[in-house]
Amino acid sequence: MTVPRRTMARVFWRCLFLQAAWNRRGMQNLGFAYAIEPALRALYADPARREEALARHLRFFNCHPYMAAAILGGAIHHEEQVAAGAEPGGAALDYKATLQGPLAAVGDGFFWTALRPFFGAVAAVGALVAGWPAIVAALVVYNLVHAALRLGLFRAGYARGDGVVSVIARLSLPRLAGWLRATGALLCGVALGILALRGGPGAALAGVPAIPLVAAAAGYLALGRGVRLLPAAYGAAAAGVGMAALAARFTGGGIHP
Amino acid sequence: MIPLVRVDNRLLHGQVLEAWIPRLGARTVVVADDAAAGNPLARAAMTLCLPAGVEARISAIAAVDFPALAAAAAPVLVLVREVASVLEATGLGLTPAMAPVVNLGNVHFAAGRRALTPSVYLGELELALLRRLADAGFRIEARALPTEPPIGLTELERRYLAAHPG
Repeated sequence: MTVPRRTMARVFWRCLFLQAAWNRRGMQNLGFAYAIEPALRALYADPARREEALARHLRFFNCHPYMAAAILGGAIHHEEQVAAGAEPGGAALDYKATLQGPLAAVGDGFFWTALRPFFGAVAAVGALVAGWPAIVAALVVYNLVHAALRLGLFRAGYARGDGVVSVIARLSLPRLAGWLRATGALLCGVALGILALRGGPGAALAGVPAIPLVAAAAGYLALGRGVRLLPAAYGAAAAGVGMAALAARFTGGGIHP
Repeated sequence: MIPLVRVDNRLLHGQVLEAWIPRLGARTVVVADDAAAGNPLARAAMTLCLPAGVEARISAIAAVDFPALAAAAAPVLVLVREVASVLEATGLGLTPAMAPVVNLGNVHFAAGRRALTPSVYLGELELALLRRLADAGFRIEARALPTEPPIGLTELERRYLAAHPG
C-alpha cells in the first residue's frame, strides 16, 4: 500500500506551514497532523482507522522546521507499513518521538547557527559592494538551498524510513557548519575592512561604521549580564538603527553603499 | 562533577547542544534513559547530532555510575526524560553534593499537568516528587535556556495553584 505521488506533493506543500498553528501544549502537533492528513486519507479507507491515525499525529511534536520534513516522510513510510498490517499502530509515533530531538539539534546547528548567518554575512558584503540587489540575491540563494535540502530530506525519509539517519550522517552537516561559521566570520571582517577603506584609516572605528559594533557589543554585554535573548537582540538592533539615523543626520547624509 | 541534571522529554536536542553544553563547558553528556539506551535508532540519531569534541554516553539509568561522574574533574551534563527519573537516580547514589542543580527544561503536557512555564507542565505527582528532591537538598529550577531567569520550586508550586486545571 503506497501513497500516490500527487498526494506526497500535497503533503510536502502542507509541511511548509508546519509552525502556522504552533502552540505551547503540542508545539508543532497541529501543523504535523495537517501535513500528514492527505497521506492518511490515502492509506486508511475505513473512517474509524483514519480518525485513529490522525489522532495519534496530534500528539506532541517539535523539531527544526526543515529537518521535520525528514521525519514527516519517514512517518508516512511507517504509516504505509501500519496500514498494511506489517507494523503496530504506534510505529510512526515511536519514530517521531525518537528523531525529533536529535534532528532538531542537527537543524539548529546547521541552518540556524551556520547557514543563515553565513548568508546574512554574504548579504552584508554584497550590499556594500553592489547595493541592495545583493540582499535579494542572498535571500533567494539561501532559500534555494533550504528548499532543495527540505525536499531531499522529505524524499529520503519516505524512501528510507529509519535509514534516513545514515543519509543525514553522510551529509556531514556539522563539518559543513564549521566551515560556514568560519567563512561567515571572515566575511564580517571583510565588511568591516570595506567600510574602513572607504572612510580612510581609522574610520571603521569612528563615526557611522562604529555604530553596529557598539550596538552589537552592548547586546553581548547585556546577554552576559543575564538579560533575556529577545529583548537584548531587539534592543541592540533598535539602538543601532536609532544611532545610525542620528549619525546620518549629523554627518549630513545617509549610509551609501 | 555534575553541574546540571536536566529533565527533558526530548532528551538531546538543540537547546542542550547549542546553549547548555557551551555554558557549562561540558564535553560529555550522559543520556540516562532506558528507552533510548535500548533503541538503535535513538542511539544512531543522538550520535549524529553531536558537534565535534562532544561525547554522548547513552545508557540505562541503572547502568550510570553517578559517584564516578561526580568525582571526575570534567563537567558532565546528565539528561533524563522524566522527573521520576531523577528520583530513581537518587536511589542509585546521586546526592545533592554530586549534582546540586536539577533543571526542568521541557516537560510536556499530559493529563493532570498544568502549564507552569512555556515549556514545563507539571502535575501534583511531579510537584510532590520535586518537593522530595528539594527537601533532600537539590536546587530545583525551571528554564529551557541558560539565558532565561531560573524559576524555583516555590514559585512553580504557587503557579500550579493559580493555574487553571488542564
